[in-house]
Amino acid sequence: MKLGRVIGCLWATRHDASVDGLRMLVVQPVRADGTDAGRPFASLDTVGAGVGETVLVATSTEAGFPFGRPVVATDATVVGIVD
Amino acid sequence: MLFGTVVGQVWATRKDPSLVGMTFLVVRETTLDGAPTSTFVVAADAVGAGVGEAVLVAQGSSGRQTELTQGKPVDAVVMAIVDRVDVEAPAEAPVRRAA
Repeated sequence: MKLGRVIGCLWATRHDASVDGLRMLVVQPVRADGTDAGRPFASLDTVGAGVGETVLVATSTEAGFPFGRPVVATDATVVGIVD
Repeated sequence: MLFGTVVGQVWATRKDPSLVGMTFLVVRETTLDGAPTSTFVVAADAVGAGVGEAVLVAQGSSGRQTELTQGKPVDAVVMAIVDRVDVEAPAEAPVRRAA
């Protein structure tokens, strides 16, 4: 899993049916000290994270697991908000 | 998912039979404001994207997580066409705790 900071929201009306109704965020990957580490990416969200929050992001196929659907076309999902 | 712009299409007559009928797009990775980077990826198209459109690409084994690509030898898929991105003003300096 990766650490990231939510920096924005994203809208995509035309999308694969497997991600219907799921919220998308823009996440900036960060290091443990909060500094930026690489390019921002798009991520789904299961926890209702907001802009500015530090989050835990599951990557790869596992990113689709929280949704309980047979397939979910995502390689990144916010699965936790870091305290 | 990475942010990209569709810049072209790939044709391949001889290919794995399970890929017949799929469209393969050449996607150039971009920054959030749409500026091109030097990275390209070829991705199966699950949404009907066209040249010039801003898209999201799911990579790795997640590329197989669409109805179109499930169980097929695909490791990148265009799974959304981006309408709008709202991003906060340039990142503030991260808050650091005093030592």
